[in-house]
Amino acid sequence: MNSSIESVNQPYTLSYSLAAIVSVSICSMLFMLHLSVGAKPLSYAVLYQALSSFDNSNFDHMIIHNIRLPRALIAIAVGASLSVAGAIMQGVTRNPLASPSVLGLLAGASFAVVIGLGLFDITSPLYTPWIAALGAGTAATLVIVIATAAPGGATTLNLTLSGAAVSALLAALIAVMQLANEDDFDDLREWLTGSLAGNSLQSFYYIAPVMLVALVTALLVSRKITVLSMGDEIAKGLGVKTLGLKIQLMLAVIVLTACSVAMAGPVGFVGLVVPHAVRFFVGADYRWVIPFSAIIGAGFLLAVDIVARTVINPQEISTGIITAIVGAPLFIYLVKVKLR
Amino acid sequence: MPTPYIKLRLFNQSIALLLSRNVLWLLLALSLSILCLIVLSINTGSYQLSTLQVFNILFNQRSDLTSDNIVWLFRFPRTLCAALVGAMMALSGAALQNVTRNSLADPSLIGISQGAALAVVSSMMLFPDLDQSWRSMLAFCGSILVALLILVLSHSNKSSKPIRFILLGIGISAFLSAITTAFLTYGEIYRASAALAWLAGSIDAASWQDVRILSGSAVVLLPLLILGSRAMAALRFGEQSAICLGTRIDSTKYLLISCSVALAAIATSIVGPIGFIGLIAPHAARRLCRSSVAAHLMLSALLGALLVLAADLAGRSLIAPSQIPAGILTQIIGVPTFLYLLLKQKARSAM
Amino acid sequence: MKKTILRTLLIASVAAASALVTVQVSAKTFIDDAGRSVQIPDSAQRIATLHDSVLTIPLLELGIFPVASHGRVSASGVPFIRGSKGLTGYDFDNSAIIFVGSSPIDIEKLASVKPDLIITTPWQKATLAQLETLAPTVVLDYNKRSRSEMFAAIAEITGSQAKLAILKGRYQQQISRIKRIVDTKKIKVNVLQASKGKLIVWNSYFNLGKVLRDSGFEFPELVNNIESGERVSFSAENLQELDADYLFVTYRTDKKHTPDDAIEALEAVVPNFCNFLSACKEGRMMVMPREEASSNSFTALSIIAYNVLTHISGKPYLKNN
Repeated sequence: MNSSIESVNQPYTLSYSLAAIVSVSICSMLFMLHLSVGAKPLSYAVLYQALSSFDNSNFDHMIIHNIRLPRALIAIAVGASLSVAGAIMQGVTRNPLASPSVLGLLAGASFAVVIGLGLFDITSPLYTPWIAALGAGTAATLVIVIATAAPGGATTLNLTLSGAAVSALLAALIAVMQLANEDDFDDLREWLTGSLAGNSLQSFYYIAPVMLVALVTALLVSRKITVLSMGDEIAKGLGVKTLGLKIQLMLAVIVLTACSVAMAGPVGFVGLVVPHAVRFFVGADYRWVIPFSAIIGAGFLLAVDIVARTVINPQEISTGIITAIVGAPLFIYLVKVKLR
Repeated sequence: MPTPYIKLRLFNQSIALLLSRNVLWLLLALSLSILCLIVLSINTGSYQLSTLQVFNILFNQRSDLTSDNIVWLFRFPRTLCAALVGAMMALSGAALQNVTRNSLADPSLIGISQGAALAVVSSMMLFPDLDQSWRSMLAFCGSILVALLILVLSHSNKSSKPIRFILLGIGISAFLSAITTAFLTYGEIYRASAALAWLAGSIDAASWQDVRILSGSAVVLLPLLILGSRAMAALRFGEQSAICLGTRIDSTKYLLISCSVALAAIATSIVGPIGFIGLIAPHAARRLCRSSVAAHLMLSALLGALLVLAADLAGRSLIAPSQIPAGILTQIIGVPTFLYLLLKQKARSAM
Repeated sequence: MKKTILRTLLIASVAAASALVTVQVSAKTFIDDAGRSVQIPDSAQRIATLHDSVLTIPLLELGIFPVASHGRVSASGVPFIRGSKGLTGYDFDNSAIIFVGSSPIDIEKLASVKPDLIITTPWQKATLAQLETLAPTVVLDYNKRSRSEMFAAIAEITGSQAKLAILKGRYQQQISRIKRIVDTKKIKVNVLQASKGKLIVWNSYFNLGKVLRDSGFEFPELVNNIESGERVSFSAENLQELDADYLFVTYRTDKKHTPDDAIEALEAVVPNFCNFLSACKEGRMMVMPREEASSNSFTALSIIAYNVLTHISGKPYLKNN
């Protein structure tokens, strides 16, 4: 699935660091652009005022502060988290088709929200994030428990199979609920595609620190993921305690994805594709794959959200839909060029 | 279905040694269960008919027109369609998993479901006047076009790495699904829910025409797959070893992928995307019994048929008059069964 | 002899065929929305309607009981005709109407009630090929017909135009009363709904929109730009452009929601929204149940017309001494 470890040479470190700096600055530019465009045209002067001297009776300030800023921050957090989660999944399972959705995380989150609405009639936007996170965590735990209980233990095959099975079951149950009463799910249709709209800064403040911890964990063990991605036998031969490491990494994936789903709904594609794109440039060394996945993922989702909010003004398109419409052609091009 | 005999003979000639007694018993048991389910399905429904009446209607003693219609136009073709579709999807998935050597491969990997879904959903949203009878045609064209696109894109260069094929599949499928989702999310809610019902995969509208199409294509494609089973066995060890074993990789691979595409596309065009069987039936077959590739293909096909038959029967009778689409019930029945197999048995033939 | 047998056979088969297709000899031709020409028996007695709120309720309001109807199933497993109990009083549990499933309906169940006319919509998944084997089948498409055109078609098919004229007369009377009491041309109104970070606005929100438009009220420009019959999810940033003299916000009574739920949803989209909407700030934003506002029913139209009139012209009266 990836080129060998040879590409990890010291001379690359400098150019990679440089690339990281460039990508981060592009991200910051995208961040400012994100704040300055939207359904209502606002000048940079207003933007500056809203950020420096916020007046909560001014609607323009309110737009920047309560609508655009949380969205931009969440785009960064979700993009980075999902990409890193995907990179870890692909490394650990050694399956290029793996992504957070394979562990049943996205299906679990969607299912919990649909059930919350359909059976318990919980529509309040205050609870949705927590229900989603709970669903994602439960589904992933279930998948891992099943895989561990299967003969052979939590192997790549068992994990991916039980994940696919649980996801399919949950997707079917969601479809049953949706078919039973289309009106109830009219509201949910958009959430199920993954949308960055309608989050407050407050929920970001709650969730972001948790994500940060998981991201840092991933970074710290990134070298060992490289070893793990070469196969369990090699990893064991190199003295890596594979089971403990896998558990640690799965926990990180669950936390990252659950938090993302809590804020943005089940955004697909990013976790699957960004890590592949990153590997085309930095190779198979997870010390670089992880941080670059975070940066590129954040920048990608920011850019995508700018498109989603402006392309058919005054309407907004769900971010989760645009990610694939914008990202897929880019990705196909990359595959064509890089995988000759 | 006359095909099992052909299969068996072919099988005996090519790899007769691997035909274990277990496999034979299993094949027999599965076939018998399918037969029983078919009989049960034709005898079950909301319209009150005794077994005797059904028997009379079947053997040409015409009763009233409605009863005739119930058995001949509604129950019978529907039952046969369910079995055929299940078998075809399972075969398609089994072949793909072997060729791409990826355990997660199913017909949606080569864009079958997504192509069909996009073609049907966009036509339902953009041209609501289009007659329902066009849906099969559109779904078929959509899935074939997308599969071709993926194949052509992944072939055009010198490399034939499976990873390239898989990644392009991911990219194109994601792109198409996103457009479909956009239609479903921003289209008119009532049209969207009609499209959603199609996407759930259902066999309720099956006609004799559908049965003819399905069985005709199965008769053509099945032998091709069985013929290719030797090459698949070689491919399982990787392309390098397959070349060493003297298999002509490219042509065989594309033949097998084409068969797989055709099977899934035809099945999808008639009942909508029931992709899950393609993923699960081959794995379940692998866990039921150690078998050669050819035997594994047959076991997968029978399991797929059994699963969809059961799903369709349960879906239309469990909470009648409410109906649960077969595509959804396939998943609801199939997943626990599969998980049970996953927990109980080790995979007996290597991926 | 041979000739007689042939003739008898011919007559028998023609009779059988016509009995199958039309039941009654007299029939009228109706071109349905799938472009098919359907022979409709003049006095169809056993009509099956395959959409509850769009077909069954209008049929009941026209004074005709269908023999079978499509319906939904509640979370506790009880089938119901959506919106019917509150508008017509009838449902599966207190009438002879038989529940035949949702989408697709159970074709065998439908066959067992022996309908002589089936009215369906393109939304119904049961195919025409199957339905037509049971009885003449008419397709009415509510994407092509406005709600009043839907009513007109159902009245024509069932020969109940006289009853429809009475219902229409009642509605006209209610609209002209609004026009007499309120200077509608000078008042801007809008109907909005908040959901998951978006403000959802229809060009014309079903019954509520129809009453407001028929009475001649003005709408915000952004709303007039929406294609008729369509809706748009606006960004929260458009809040102030969706403001009006009178705002209507709806909540779902069938899901046991309260007005607070509607307000909470708005608050989640734009914190402190009330400060930025003149209608809300100055007490001209009405929160009302959604069921009556969105059903295809003359009863609902009456209720809405009465509510609109009361909300906009009604005044709390305090005598100043």
